[in-house]
Amino acid sequence: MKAKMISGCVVDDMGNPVKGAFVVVQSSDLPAKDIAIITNDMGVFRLELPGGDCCISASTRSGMKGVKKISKYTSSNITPKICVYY
Amino acid sequence: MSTRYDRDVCSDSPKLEVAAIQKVMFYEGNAGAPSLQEQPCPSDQLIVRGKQDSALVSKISFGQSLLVPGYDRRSRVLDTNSDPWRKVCALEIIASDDVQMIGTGWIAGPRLIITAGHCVFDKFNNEWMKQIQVIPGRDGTAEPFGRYVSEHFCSMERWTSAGDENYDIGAIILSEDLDSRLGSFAFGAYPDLFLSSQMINISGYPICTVGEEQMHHANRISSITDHKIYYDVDTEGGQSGSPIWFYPDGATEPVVVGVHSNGAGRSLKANSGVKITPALANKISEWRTRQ
Repeated sequence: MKAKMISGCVVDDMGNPVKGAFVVVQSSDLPAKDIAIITNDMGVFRLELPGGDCCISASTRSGMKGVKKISKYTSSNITPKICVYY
Repeated sequence: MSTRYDRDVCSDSPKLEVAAIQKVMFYEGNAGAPSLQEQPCPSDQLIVRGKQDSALVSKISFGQSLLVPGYDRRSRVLDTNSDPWRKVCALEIIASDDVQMIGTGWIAGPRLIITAGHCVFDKFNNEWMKQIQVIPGRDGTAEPFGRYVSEHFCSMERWTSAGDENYDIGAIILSEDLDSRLGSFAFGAYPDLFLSSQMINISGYPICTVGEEQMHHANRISSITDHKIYYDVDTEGGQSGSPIWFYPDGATEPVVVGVHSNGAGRSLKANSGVKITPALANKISEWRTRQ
């Protein structure tokens, strides 16, 4: 199973992009790099996913959190949206 | 540099007794300003030393770098002015496409910060990072030793060309010397038999504290390969590049033996980092001389 690069975005419960959220691979089938990505002004991030199923999470300074599961069958063309809320 | 030799005798052959010599390679650090470490600080109680020889507890793997779901076994370090905590640095990374990341590094020389290879070389763009800001001993908004800017980066060719996780280590060469009070970590390469079951310490800047507060956990090494160390120590995103240190034979000075890089997947029950091999120790020593 090969690692893949994905781009996605973090939004709040109103659908607005969230700037400055921290995105990491929370759990995965294969070991993931322990680095955290910060979303840009548009709430966009890019992340390397290890092979297999995984779960990515986003959190903000204000305490909002959200997670998204990504299947091993998902192509690298997808743009997952993580919704964060209190 | 001092060296010592361990003799590991293998007598499988009926005719020959082969002695495999495993060399200890050690490069000294610098404790830093004595005035800053006259008083023992409360966070020193977090540090573990020695070996643990009882059987490893078997665990179910949940694929997280916080190895026990629902529990975070790390503690916040409150005395980041003190040794060795002040030698651990928060990293604010800007990639060549302006994506921001956070990581951790440790001081290995007057201008040298060691971290994970993926913190200095971005496989997404196949380029070096644009800039990294280094904040030694950061504690929230307090930056007791200021912040420093990267001048250039180094890594292992096997990481930059092939992405080989066995060589996921990198160096940040700073544009100016660090505050001399900070000192630097000693580092070394030790035989696997020596490292086996050692209690190790890992401290870094994870996202649970938005990369601004230092978190530490210590536990034992669970297994070792030629290039990696696996351990039952909690970590999290943002702690890539954290030092893995121990205290050999009751030494008072910490010695770094690896660099944290990966959280556990479900296929493993342990987090892992790159082991400092003799070749890597020599490479870090060479990076120390770069300006």
